[in-house]
Amino acid sequence: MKFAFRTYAKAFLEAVKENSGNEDILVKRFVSLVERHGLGKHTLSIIEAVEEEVTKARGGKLITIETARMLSASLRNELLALVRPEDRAIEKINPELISGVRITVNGSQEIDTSLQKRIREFRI
Amino acid sequence: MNQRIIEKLKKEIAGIAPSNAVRDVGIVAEASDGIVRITGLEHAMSQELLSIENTSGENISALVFNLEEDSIGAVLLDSETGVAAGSRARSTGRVLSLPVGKFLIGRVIDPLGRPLDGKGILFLPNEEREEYPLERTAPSVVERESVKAPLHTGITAIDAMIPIGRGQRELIIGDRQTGKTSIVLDTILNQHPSRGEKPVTCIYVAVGQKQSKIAATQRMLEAAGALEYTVIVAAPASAPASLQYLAPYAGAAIGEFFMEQGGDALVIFDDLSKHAVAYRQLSLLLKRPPGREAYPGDIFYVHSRLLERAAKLNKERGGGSLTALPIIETQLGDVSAYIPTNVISITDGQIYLESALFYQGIRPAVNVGLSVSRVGSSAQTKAMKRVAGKLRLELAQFRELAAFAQFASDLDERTRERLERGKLLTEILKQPDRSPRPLTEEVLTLHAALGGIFDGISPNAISPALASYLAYVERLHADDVVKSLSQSLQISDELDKQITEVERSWRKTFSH
Repeated sequence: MKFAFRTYAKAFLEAVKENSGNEDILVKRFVSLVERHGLGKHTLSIIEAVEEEVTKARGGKLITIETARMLSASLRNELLALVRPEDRAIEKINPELISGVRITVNGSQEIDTSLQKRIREFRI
Repeated sequence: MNQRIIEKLKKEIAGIAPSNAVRDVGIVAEASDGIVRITGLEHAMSQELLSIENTSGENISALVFNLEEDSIGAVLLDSETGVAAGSRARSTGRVLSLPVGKFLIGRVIDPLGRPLDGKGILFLPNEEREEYPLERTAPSVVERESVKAPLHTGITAIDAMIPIGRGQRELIIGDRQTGKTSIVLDTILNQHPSRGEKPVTCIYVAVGQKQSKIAATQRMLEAAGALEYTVIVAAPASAPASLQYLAPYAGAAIGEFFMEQGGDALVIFDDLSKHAVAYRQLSLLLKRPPGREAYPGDIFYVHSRLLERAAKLNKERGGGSLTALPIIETQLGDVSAYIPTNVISITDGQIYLESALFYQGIRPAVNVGLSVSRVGSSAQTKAMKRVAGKLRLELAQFRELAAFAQFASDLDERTRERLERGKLLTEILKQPDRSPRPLTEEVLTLHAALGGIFDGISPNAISPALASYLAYVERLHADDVVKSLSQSLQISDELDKQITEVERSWRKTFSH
């Protein structure tokens, strides 16, 4: 990989900021660049990186909510109610957690109440 | 019974108060070739130890090397199996350290302090022990004192002309297969308590060597009883580059423990050329800018901060010492290459081994002309100083004349004598592997050789003649000459006369 996904995302947003009227052309050229660099299969990751940068630019936080299985509607709404409008919440299902929830903020801080963590910390 | 255990387990897990504190975390963005790039962990510090969860749920240790704007570059300290993009990394808030103590003596460990010799755990889990960080600041100028006490290698050529002191750094440099490792192993053997000198704890750091060679070294040291005062730190060629990079620092940390207890320690780095290559590999993988010969710009600092930790501490700090014998392998005798010149400028002298001398049968193949000890005779006993004073000069004159004599057909008597004396001294200084000589034998050998006792004996017969002389002294004069010499470590005028008498009486009995 030539550059980190975040670098592509930052470069794209920088270009959009400087050429705000030509977003369609920019998007086409960006996708073509990604293909040329052989990153076709990583487009989702690059889009996530762009979303992350956009969120950070407007002062928000990227919040990843991982649960072991699909949450009930009420529980889901309860969790999402804690997210501010400028933040971006990403929900993921991670069966390895067994139960509980793990919340990661901006990829650099986490609150982990999963059973996986409790078992790992379990000392006989 | 199974149900009972399950109930107990459930109760125990339920009883654990969950910690919901916010923790710093990072996500692995890339993982390959033992290097991981991590996003997040904004408060990570340089050289901090990280813990990365691999796909099997095991914690793999990693060391922070690069702190970049958007990510951290870390080197894995264990096998990278299971570490992939998406793995979570957590900081430990600690720097890399290893447990140190007397329990390490006789053991073979890796740079993280894990035993490799199959002799069981090093210590019990609740046993008190000290942890020394691998990276430590060297003792300051104020904490040191001059190097005065000798560290005898048992190799006459070195102890006489390139003496090493306790607290010195003496480089051993030469091409492959010139006897560098042999010199250091003989030095270890010579620290055996039976020699009667102040004990020295030896640490042998093997970097990038074959595992079979490390195993052979361990067996040899064990058979000679040297493992009773030796620790082996092994990072073989199959170990990750990160462990090969850390091994010398681990060895230095262990040596510092013994030094700070007031004892004397000897650490051998075999060899720093491979260490430099391992560091180059890590730096290039971390995309640090390559400099000369593709080494990173701080390759000098890598070795200087390591070797500066060798010191002779003053009495206020306990009076201990750490002597370092780094080894550097040259290519085709080129001592002006990058890494050799770096380490030569750091150390307090070098012992230069030449392939040409080795193949001529002069072993140890020490080039006395190019070798130097910057501590010099301050690190010699008075006895050795007295007998070795003329040795270097005689050998230097012999070398000059030997080159001249190749072309001259007619030589005067004096020149012929000098040449004969030089050949004799060269033979006297030859020593087989694994046969370090005690100090008294070295002094008696040189006293006899420079006194002309072996004059007239053909070079082929020197070795048996020397053995005969030393056996004669041991048999008949152990209680007077040898005892007096080993106790006083100096040759008074009276002792000098005694030794000369003994030499003459042996010569009368010797026929060749």
